[in-house]
Amino acid sequence: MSEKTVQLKPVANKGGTNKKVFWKAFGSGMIVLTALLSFMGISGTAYAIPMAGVGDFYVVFDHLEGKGYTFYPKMGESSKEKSTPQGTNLIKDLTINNLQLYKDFNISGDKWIRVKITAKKPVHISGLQHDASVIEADAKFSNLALKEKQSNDWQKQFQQTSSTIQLDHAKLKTHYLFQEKIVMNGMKVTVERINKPGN
Amino acid sequence: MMVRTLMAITCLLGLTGLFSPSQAKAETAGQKLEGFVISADRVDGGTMLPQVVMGETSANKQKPMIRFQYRNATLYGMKLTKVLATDQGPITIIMNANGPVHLTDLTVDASAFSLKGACLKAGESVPELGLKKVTMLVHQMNAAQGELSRLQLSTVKGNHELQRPDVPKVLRDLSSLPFLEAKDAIESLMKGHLPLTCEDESKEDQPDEKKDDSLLPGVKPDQKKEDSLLPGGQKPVDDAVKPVEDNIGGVTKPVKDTIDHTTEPLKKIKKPVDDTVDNVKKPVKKVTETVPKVVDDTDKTVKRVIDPVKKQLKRTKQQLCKDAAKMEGKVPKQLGLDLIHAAQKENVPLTDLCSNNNDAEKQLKLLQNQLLNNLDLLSLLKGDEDELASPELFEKMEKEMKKHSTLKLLPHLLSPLNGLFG
Repeated sequence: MSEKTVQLKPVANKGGTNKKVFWKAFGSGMIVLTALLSFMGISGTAYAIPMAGVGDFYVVFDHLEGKGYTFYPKMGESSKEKSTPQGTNLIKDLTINNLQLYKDFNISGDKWIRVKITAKKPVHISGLQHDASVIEADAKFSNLALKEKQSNDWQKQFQQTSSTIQLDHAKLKTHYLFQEKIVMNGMKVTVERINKPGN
Repeated sequence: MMVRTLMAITCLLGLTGLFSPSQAKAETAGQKLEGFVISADRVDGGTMLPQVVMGETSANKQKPMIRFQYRNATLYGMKLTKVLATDQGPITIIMNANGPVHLTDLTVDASAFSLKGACLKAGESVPELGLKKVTMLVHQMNAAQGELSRLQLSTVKGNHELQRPDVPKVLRDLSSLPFLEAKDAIESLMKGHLPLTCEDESKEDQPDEKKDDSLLPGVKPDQKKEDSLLPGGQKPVDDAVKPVEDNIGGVTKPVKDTIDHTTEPLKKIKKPVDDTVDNVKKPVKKVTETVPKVVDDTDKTVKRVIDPVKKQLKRTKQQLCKDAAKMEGKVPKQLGLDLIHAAQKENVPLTDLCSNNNDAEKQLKLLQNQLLNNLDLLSLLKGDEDELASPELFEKMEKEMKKHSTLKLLPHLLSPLNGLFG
């Protein structure tokens, strides 16, 4: 049976919090999470899930193993700009251990909260598209190929592919996430107050 | 009617002005941005084979490149940048590996590169190669397995490309040839194991910079260089070039003499030279009285073509000593053989070959003693020094050296007599 809880940690109210900004930021995060949760249903399985429109967010995990990897450049939207350079990562099938997705919201002055989704159990994804501007990880590839191709379309001029991909201790600054199918058991959503994020 | 014609011409010129430069710019930009730059502070690898191939880039379907093939390689301080021209200006993909990068069955196709630590020859594999400050303009890279520690992959605005390396002379020459001729030239390069690096050292040995230094047997000398070498400011460009193809029969002998004087490395390219000689033997019958002068010019031309190649092929003594100094206890077969041959030629013991280079001298002492040790001839060190320079000993050393792809030198053999007879 899947576990889906929304745990709100108490925030020490020392005054000065702009409630309007807080609820706006909190609300936008919750809309995404609610959408995700409603798709997931009881089984913890969801289909055709996009995560976008909330600006940059971070994906962090201990271990990822996937098959059929492709990377190519693109221009996409971020929280600050309409069009910013990114890289699209496509993985056909993958499993992630200790997945965390989080986004930080500035609710007032130097007051920040972090909305975080964590999955205690391994997450299985099929048909992943992940647009990120920064990826940090220890990486392993099989049949790795980096090559350029003669094309008038700049997006097709450079491509990295591999038959398998393994990422450890990864942190990805993400702008868009789409999965054809995701099985995410042991999910937990938390909101916590944080110091100003250093990212 | 006249006015209409003028208007039409003006419009056409206007359109040409509008479109041609931008098209040209786009092509130039495409060519400028082709490839991705990979650099590494150090590359350690086992068995590397450099080859010359034709490969695809973002701007060209066929471009001459050097293919580096490694059975396995470890890169330290690896960085990769790829700049792309988007509608909104350039963007750069940056890949940094802050830890070591291990790659197996690695193939890299590069159209430009710079590296330190080895002299590479086309089609000649190098065992246990260590390179430093490697930068390559790569168009394709494949690896059966890749392990990149502490990888950081980012995509950012602007052009943040690493400095591009220079295109090696051999690839510049190949680029100037038509496709089919380039393919033939590549074949010659591969068969002749012609050098791909260390051109600068060879140039140091050439006082006359105006000499044609084309590495390729099929590449015609530069027009300006031709003119400058002809007496009396004549314009016998055709006479100077054609004789090489048509009337060179008269200079068969000088060519043969040149070949005879050539040392062993040139044997590797003897076949292409022979082919040239065979082709030009036929017209010798047509040689008339005017030939001697032409022959004279042709002789110079042929020498200009062959001499630099000869110098490129022949590892100079200075280069040998430089390479010997960097051996660090491991001697690749070819370098070992070259050192033995050089010492034999000078009729001196191996240890006396690089007497003005302390590091080389130390390594040569290790090499000599290791070879003597392997041959059970360490006792020669107690005897007359002349014996260490005898042709018989060099022959034995050569045979022993040939048994090893890389000869490892044991440091304790620096003082082999200590404790040996005590």
